[in-house]
Amino acid sequence: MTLRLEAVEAAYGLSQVLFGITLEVPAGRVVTLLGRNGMGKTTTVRAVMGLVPIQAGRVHFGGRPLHGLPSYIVARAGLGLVPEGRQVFPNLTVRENLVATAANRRGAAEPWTVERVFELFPHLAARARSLGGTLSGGEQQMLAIGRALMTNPALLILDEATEGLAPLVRSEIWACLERLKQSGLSILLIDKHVGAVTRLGDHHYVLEKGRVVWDGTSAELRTRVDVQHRYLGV
Amino acid sequence: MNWLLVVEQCLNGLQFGVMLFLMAAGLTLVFGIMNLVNLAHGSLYMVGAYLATAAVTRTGSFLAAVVFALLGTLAIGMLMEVLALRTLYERDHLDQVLATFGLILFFNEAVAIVWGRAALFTAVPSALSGHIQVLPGIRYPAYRAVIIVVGLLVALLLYVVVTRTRLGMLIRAGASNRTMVGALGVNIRLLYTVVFGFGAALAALGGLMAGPIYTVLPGMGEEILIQVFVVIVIGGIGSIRGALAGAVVVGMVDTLGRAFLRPMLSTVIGPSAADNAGPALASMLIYILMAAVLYFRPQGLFPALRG
Amino acid sequence: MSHSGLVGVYLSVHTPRYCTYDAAFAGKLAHPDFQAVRDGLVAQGRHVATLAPDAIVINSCHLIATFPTVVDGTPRHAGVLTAQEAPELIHGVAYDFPGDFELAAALVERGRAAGLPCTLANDVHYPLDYGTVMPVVCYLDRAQRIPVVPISVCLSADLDESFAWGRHIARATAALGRRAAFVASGSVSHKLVRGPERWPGAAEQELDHRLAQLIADGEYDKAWAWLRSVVRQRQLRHLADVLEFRAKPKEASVRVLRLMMILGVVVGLLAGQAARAAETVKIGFITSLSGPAGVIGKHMKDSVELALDHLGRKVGGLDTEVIYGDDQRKPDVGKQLADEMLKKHKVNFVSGIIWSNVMLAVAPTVTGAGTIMVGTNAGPHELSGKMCNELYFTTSWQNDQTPEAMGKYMQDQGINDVYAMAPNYAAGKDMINGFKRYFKGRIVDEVYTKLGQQDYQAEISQLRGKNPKAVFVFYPGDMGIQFLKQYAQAGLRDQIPLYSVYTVDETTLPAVGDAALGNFEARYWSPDLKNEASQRYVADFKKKFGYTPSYYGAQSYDGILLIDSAVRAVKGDLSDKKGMVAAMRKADFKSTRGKFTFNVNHTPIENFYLLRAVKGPGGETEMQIQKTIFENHKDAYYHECPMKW
Ligand SMILES: Nc1ncnc2c1ncn2[C@@H]1O[C@H](COP(=O)(O)OP(=O)(O)OP(=O)(O)O)[C@@H](O)[C@H]1O
Ligand SMILES: [Mg+2]
Repeated sequence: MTLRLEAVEAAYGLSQVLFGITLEVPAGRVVTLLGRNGMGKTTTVRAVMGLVPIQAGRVHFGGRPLHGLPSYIVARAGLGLVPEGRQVFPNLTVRENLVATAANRRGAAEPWTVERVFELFPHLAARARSLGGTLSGGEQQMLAIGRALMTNPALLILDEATEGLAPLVRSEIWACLERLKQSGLSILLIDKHVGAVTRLGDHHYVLEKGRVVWDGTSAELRTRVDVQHRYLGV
Repeated sequence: MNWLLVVEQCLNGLQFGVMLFLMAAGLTLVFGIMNLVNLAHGSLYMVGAYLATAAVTRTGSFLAAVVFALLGTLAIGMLMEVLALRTLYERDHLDQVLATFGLILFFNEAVAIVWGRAALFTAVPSALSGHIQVLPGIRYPAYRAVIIVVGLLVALLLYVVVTRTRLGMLIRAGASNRTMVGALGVNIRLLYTVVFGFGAALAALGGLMAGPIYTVLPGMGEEILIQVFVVIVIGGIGSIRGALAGAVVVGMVDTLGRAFLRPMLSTVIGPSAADNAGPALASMLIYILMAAVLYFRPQGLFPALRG
Repeated sequence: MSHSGLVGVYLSVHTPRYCTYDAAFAGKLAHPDFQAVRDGLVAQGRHVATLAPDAIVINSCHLIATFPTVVDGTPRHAGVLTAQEAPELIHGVAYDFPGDFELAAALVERGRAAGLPCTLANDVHYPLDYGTVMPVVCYLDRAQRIPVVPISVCLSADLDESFAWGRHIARATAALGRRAAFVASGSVSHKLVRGPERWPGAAEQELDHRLAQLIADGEYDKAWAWLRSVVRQRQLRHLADVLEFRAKPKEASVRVLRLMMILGVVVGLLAGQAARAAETVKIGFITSLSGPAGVIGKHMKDSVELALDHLGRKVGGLDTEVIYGDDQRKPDVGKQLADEMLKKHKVNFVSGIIWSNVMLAVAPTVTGAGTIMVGTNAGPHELSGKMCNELYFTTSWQNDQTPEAMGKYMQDQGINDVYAMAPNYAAGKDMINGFKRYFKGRIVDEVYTKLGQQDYQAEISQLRGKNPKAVFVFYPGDMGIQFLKQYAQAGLRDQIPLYSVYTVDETTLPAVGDAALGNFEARYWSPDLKNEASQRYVADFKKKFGYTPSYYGAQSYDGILLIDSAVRAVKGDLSDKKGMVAAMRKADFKSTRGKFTFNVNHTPIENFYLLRAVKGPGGETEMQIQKTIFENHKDAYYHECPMKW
């Protein structure tokens, strides 16, 4: 199932943020959204999820139009969101965070379970009864990923999943994403670590002020020092 | 002081407390989760009482009346949420107060149009009209004892639902971050409607049990609503545990205050001064308590955990 | 046209060519064209003679005052007139006619009250003009026997003020019981131009005909509008024109304006008269229409409506408008409503009020505004005692009276060890005090509960703990329902007899049901009271509304009848407050309680009965009068009321 955005425009009130974003996440691929702060990466994700209204353009997933639908229907179509800032439910325990919104709406043969999430993130298992609000940043990030996985998505969207984490935790998360990629899950990834991103990702889109200014494969991105320099501040 | 009388008054306080709890539970859930101040919660209490009274006069069966009133008010509550309250979640509290005050007027008039302005007669079901021996020396009205039991069972049930079930988790999750709940595939609007409907049904349960001992009248919900607000402020807004604690505390303080404050005062300041000060003070007691709680623990006794 | 007020209105002229002795008495006219007008004036004189009014109020455009309007109340107008403006034509006219000081004074008093600048003249040397004297002595009252009250034109007044004067003149004469004739000395066509040869032509005379016709047709609004437009057409757009004497010579303009002002008075007068004839009585009725006490309000409102039906929808013979207000049992809301009714609706009476605390807020507001308040339930002791007021009446009782009756009965029965309970507000205290005034036995305890309280279980537990022989309570409205039910549910009904006031009645019985059986109440009225007015009220009420009325309703019904008797007594002159108060003091109407009198404090002196809740013939619980406890019972506070009458 391919996620396809065509000329998507979005605004917060009167201030337009996205000026026609077109991109594609083919099934089983890892695609990244790159760009400096405030360029509209998160807004793109929110537009896809139906969390900001789309002014113009279209969003399709597996051929099914999603633009203009409420976010719960978008999620049910198979999009699993790991939001910027993690946003775990602080007043629910780890287990409850995982269970509360869990679902297998598309009838995955091997659905995610709390145990499988704990296998993926052994750290969490130890803290199963702790409230979400009491976890460390890294644990919260793992919980947010686990929570999204428990909805058995076809596409996982991660917005700055490694931001503000210690290098060790960060690499644990990268490793986990690698495993998810291996399992055939499509991933739309937003991250600022160009090195890691080019290792994991297949295709990259660079956003500048709400527009896609460059896209290409990892190999191409590695050679385009100018792009990295100009748009990513590397 | 006669200790049997104290026990009996404690039962009275508990009974009043669970009555308040049934109202407070719905109100606090709605406030905690949807951030909605619903003044019309008392109207649902009234609707419950009226539906039950209407059903009991029609069918003669109290149980049928209970079922009818609960389902009827559940439906009315959900309808009210869909038609009127949904648009208010994003508005500020003053707008909510104004709009739901309008609903109070609407419900009071609607009830007066259908059933008239005069109070309706309802009797305690005959099976419960007697007294039971609670302790040696204490006979307590069976109906009020049943109210206590039902109230405590409902509290237990609510506790289980909120802490042990998926619905409860979603309710709590929704209270802290409704956007995320939606983005993870849960129809939060429907969840709200359902929660509101159950809150309405709880209010109706209070109302239908109140019918035979209080008065079934247009506007009967407002009197108790004020005390219910005191309960949730004391207990902590949005928290079921807080609602129960607050309700029992308010029920006890109010009842014991009414019963014993004047006699106690008269030993301190003399009988005639106590005659003047006692009743006034007794009726202010729960508000004094609320002020004290707000001063020492502004978030209430058992605040809900939120994001 | 026999009753008081204005009995005739005349548009007269005073032009010297008509109003010299030669012209008037000898018929010597300078031109044959003048004949018609002279004939008209002679006819006016005849009309006045047959009418024989008590007084003539005359407003001439030559009697001028600059700032105030002067009303001449000189008791005897005597002198020799030489006209300031026409000394060659009118000179040495001796006149001697009576005045009417009382009427003049009443006019000034009324004008002042309405904020119109005015002065009373009482001085034989106050000069009269020929416009005043000549029409009177030449035509209207040649015998000079009818008292005359001249009123000046005021140059500072505008047309609206003149119009207002018209109304005040109409009402003041009526209020004083005078039959007066009004004379406007001037006309629309009264052109003030030089040269007698330029007398009004046909077109100008038509203006007078037009005005006369409009007035004759009773089209006062049209006449008034037309008059304004004429003023405008005649270059009198505004006073600035007049004062700057730009386009027109000053003299002419001012005079024309003056003329118009007299005519303004005429129209105002007639309009005032007409408005009075078609005046509406406005009654503001405040009660609790929503919330738990809404049913009481409904009983009261329905009874007001029935009273209006019985009166043919006319209180005191006037069209009636009742404005209902819902006080929600809150004193502040009641007071706001009263303010609104007084200021916005300008009601003539305020009535109603269930709750004593509301009454204590409302009554002073109403009487303070000079409006009559007829309470139809609440009877706080303050208003029957120290705070009694000329303008405050109640058709119910003073709070203490009913519990006094119950206290007396229980005392006579030798009952002892009584537990007394009431809500903690003005009336609750009154009730217990009243009870204790006559009950001298032991009182086990006296408990006050919160007003509007729903659950009495705690109090009932305490009560049982004290083991009294009898319980006395005052729990009106929904509180009574709750208390009685819970008392019965506690199993006390068969153990400790319950004596109550204002607790078991027709508003609460349908909801209390059998829980009230056996209960004793004291009351001044009950639906089974045997008298014609009561039986008619009860029967028609049941027919119209399909339920049994209560004393709340009977009192409210009586309230409207009391107002009706007052308005009737002053023949619909709602400004005559004194007259209405005097009439109300007679309690001259068919009260549902039978004949009764008002005490000096305007509180009824009436009978009180013992009632008991019994099973009626239809199987429903109803109240039945058992015996009379008090006959013609006075309240305990009238000694404190300073009012004397
Ligand atoms: N709720 C909001 N209301 C108004 N403007 C917003 C809102 N959220 C974001 N913006 C603005 O929209 C633009 C794009 O923001 P967005 O969060 O999409 O950027 P981003 O690329 O995700 O940045 P970052 O790397 O910092 O997360 C920014 O200019 C931001 O200030
Ligand atoms: Mg972002």
